[in-house]
Amino acid sequence: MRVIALKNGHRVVRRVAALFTAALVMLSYTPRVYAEEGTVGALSSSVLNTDNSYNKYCKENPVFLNGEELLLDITAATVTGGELKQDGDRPVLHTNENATVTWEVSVPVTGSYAIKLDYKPLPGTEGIIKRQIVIDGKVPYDEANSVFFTRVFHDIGEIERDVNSGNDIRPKQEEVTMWSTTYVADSSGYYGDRLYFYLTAGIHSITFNSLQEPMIIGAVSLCSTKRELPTYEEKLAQWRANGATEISGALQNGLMLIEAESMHQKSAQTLYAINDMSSCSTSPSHYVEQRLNCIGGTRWQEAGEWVSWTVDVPQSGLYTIGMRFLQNTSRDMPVGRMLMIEGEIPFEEAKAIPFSYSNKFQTMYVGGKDPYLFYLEKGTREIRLQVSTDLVNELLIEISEALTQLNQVNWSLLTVLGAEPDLYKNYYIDEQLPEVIEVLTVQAENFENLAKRWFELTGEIDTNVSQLEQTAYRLSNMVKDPDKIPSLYSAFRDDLGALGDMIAAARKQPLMLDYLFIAEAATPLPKANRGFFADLWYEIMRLVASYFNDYNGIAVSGADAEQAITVWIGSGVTGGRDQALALNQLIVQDFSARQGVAVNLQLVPGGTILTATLAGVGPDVALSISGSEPVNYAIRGATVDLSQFEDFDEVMTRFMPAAYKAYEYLGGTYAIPETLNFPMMFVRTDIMKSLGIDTASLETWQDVVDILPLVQRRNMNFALPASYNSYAMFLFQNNGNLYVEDGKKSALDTREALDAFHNFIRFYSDYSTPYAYSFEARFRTGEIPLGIADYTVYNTLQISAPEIQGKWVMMPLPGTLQADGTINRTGIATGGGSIIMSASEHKEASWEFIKWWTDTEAQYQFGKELESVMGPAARYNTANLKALERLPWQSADRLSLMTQMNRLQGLPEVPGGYMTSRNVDFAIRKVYNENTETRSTLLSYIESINQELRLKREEFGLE
Amino acid sequence: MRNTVTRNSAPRSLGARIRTDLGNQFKLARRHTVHYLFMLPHATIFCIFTLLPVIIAIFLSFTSFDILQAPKFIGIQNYFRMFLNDDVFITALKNTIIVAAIVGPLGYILSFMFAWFINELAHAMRVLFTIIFYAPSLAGGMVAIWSIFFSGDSRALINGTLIRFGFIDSPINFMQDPKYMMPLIIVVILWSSLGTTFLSFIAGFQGVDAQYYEAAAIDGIRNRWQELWYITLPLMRPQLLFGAVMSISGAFSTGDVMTALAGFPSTDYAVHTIVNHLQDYGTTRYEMGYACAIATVLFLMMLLANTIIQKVLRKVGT
Repeated sequence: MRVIALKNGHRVVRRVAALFTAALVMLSYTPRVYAEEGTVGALSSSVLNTDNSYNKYCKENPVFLNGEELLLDITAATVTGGELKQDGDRPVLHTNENATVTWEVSVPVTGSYAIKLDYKPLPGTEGIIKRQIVIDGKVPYDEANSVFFTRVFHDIGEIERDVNSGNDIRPKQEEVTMWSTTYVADSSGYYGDRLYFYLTAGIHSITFNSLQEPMIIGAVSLCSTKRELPTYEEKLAQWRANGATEISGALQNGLMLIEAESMHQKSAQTLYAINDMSSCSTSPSHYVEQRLNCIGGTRWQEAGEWVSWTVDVPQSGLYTIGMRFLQNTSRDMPVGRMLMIEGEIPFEEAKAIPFSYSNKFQTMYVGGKDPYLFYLEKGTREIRLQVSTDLVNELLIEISEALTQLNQVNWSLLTVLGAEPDLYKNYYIDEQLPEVIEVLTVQAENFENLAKRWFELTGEIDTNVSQLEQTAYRLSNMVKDPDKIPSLYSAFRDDLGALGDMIAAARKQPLMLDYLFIAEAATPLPKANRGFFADLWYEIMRLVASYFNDYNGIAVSGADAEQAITVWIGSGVTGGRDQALALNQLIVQDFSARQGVAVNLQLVPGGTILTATLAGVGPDVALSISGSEPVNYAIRGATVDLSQFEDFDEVMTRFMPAAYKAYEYLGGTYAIPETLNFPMMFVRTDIMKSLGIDTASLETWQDVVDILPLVQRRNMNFALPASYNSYAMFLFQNNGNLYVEDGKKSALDTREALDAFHNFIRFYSDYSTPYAYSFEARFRTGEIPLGIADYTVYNTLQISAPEIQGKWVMMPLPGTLQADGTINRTGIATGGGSIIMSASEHKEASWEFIKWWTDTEAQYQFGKELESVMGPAARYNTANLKALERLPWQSADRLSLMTQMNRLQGLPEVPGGYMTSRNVDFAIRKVYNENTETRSTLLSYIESINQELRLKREEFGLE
Repeated sequence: MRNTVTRNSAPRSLGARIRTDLGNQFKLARRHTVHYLFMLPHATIFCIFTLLPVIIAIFLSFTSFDILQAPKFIGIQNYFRMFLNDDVFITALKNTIIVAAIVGPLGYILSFMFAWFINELAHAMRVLFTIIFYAPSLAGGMVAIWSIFFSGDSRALINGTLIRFGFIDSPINFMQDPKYMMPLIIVVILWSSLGTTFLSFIAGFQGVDAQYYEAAAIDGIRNRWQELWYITLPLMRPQLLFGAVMSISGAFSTGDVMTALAGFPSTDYAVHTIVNHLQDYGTTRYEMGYACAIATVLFLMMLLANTIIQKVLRKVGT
């Protein structure tokens, strides 16, 4: 017994020893990780070189100016999408929003040339005019991808006062169509007033491709010149030499005020007069009535936006110029404005006038303590202030450039490490990606340097300095110990995001102006604030007044309160209050004024409509009622069948049928669509290009599946929302249906439906695309270079991800191949609509209101207003086709949207329909969580759908 | 004869008794007019906003009512349907009982333990810890931060950490996978359950006069457990009772936490509680009659649980 045990013991020891040796041997011979993934390592350096900036272009082709000026012959251009017309005595080119204009130019001397042109906007959607510049069939650098030409607007008439409320009424704005001369410049404002194109002597082709909006092109010339500006000293000496002297006694009190809100012209409609109540010294001001007394703020912050004023100069001579302003947003950096008089920048120093931070209004003379003198000739003169990023340009260019390099490093690392690196695996980054270490070494030093320079610029250790320092520290750590790169990777990626945000933020230059003044040289600076007690009294009056005043102004507007219709707008929607205010303004100015019907607009939390109606205090009209609600109310007789109105059919031609599919029930239509949402495919063109994938070929889901290995091999992925709507998309593309016979039974047990479910769910179960993710964030970093998302994501990306601007597109959805060889590319439409409650006593007036509200003009104005208040990220997703077309989309994007819109289908609503989405969701989760068989899983949920449908049909007496 | 007498006299004496009783009560009431006047504001509000709705709900539970059209009387059909023909209700009942059985007592005991421990601390520390423990229930919406923790995104806090340290390869869908939902949600509810109960316990501990402990020590109390059982707890009985009622009603009426974390409805109704079920019928399906029947059942369950709790608590310190 003991012997056996001992023997066994020996055997065990021997075995363990043998295993141990074997393990040692194996460990020492373990092939290095990258050996298995050799292809990836080899590719990474060539894959992701996407730096195509103007800065790089200028390094490769140093700016060389030879002073040449070359006028192009307008009549000799090759034009598509435009025509040659006569404007007085000169020929001009009318180009539409899809035009291409090409010149063949013989360049006499090699050099860098800027393009100067005369243009005049043509009526379009009032958006910015965008063109792409192509030289010899190629876009030379990213900045030439989209150059802007602004439109000019002005207010019609003066600010008026409302008799009832005492509030100021904002004047309407209109476009001023006039000729302007400008150079082709980059839209970010980094590179001054013109971009150069390096042209060798010989024949070159120069092409203008329209991206957005039509315009007339007058003269076009190539100029190998730069803007020469004298310094202040030189300019002043010149003025004095011409006999100009300081003025005294010409102005009352030595000062002449120009209210900022009485503008002459402006570059954007968002630059309208606004009301400031933060100071009693703002002119004019009132403690309760709203005075439009300022302009700007966050509405006036993007490079290139300008406002101009006219001033009646009583006497020719030298004046100082000053202003009262509020700059309470940019704490770290002063914001900059460029000053122009009569369209000219007088001297170098006026290119970027700094406005420093304070939480109160300030006054200052241009030039500070020792104000600059400006020569103003007698008569009406124009003064213009334009947002200028000159103060930070140089640093921002360098940071952007560094960021581009780090982004490339990020992609190279991503292809090796994956999004979630394994901390217990050695990736041998330094051997696999030596060039990455090289870049990191250089950039670590670079960022330290940048941090120092930023500190010198602002004199403070602000958040930007610490962000730059932090990046420098992180990079040097990564270089010092490349084995730590996997664990530092996610922080590194966060740094990239933070730097992108920092650039976007630093470019913004918000400034609010109360008034400007021209003054005689000896005039002391006016006080910015009247003092503590004046402010205190003002605040006390405001507090007292707040108990008596209805600030909503959303009160009954219009003649007869008795006949007023009550309209509810949900407060749950994002920006609900802004929406309500914008709508109210429209109602007052347009609907009530025209129809004579008073409207009582109320902001009410959603979900209270039925109970309010039961209690007899419900509205006549409810707006933004979404999804299944209209039909749910309709089944219970709570809403009016709108198809009974005479001109119903005419009204519905404004929308795609898919937009109101969900509001139809038993032959009636219970809501008129306001908004429309649908998914689109978003694609990172830069990444797709480097992976060698032709995005235009992605027509079916199978095409997407086919390229998935290519994408996933580089640790990137495709994204499809794991939702009921996604399934419905597959279902409709596979010619399936949700219900049989108007909702008697679920149709999800048919072969089409089960196949569709299988094809859809395979993305998660077989192709391991992510189930939960933040699309915007991962699309930005490139982890998800391809994905399906709601089309409104477009706006978010436009605003919040400046570093990938121009590197992505929005495309129609992929489809499913049909038996006859066609492709069904149906998308699912969702949205909200307006309803009329059955309890309403003003049904006709309500119908008039809804008709007005969903009409093109109101929807367009509302969308424009929202965008001007909340910025382009809040672009309104109107269901009205014509209004959507008029919103300032780029023409290629608009085309994609329209293409997809024609392929939409709505989800039908039936009694008990909510059980369908609920159970499909359950089925999706079940397959994802437990990896069960797809078709049978869906089948197991059908019974509970059918049961609910049956119960509900019994309840409503349909069986 | 005797029978007759009894038969004849009993009603008379009962009637007389009621009369005299009522008379007495009325006299009493008149004597306490001021007290009744003091009660009046709250009593009015209570009757209108609590008592009346309960009565209306009980009435509506015997009807079919869709908010917009007049209720139709249908007898006890709603109750039949609930217990015999509604699988989801049975699931919800099961979930509610699980949550109540675990969270109710455990939350109660936790509250008590923490209150007890904190009571031993110096004044400044006591205040600090009270705030720390009470904070979660002060900030009502705070539960939502757990949904960030438990998000199915591979970058979310817990999934990200687990993947980072190699415990899992692909993210777990914590709040949509029935395997994980119930335990995690119970943890979250426990986390946020140190609410009113906890505060009332702290107050209870503070209210016990130190003299009692002194006296008890002289009388032969040997350790802290005996002190707790024979002195502290009996003296704290009102707070214990209050805490128990709060805990139980809280545990039975959980539902918002489920909606905030697992969505509405939760996958396969895995954490669907009676309150969720009630919301489902009340707001999604507009079947108010049935929703009222569910509410009535919930009300009765809570009533029953409270009665039991009170019986049990009477035994404390005996």
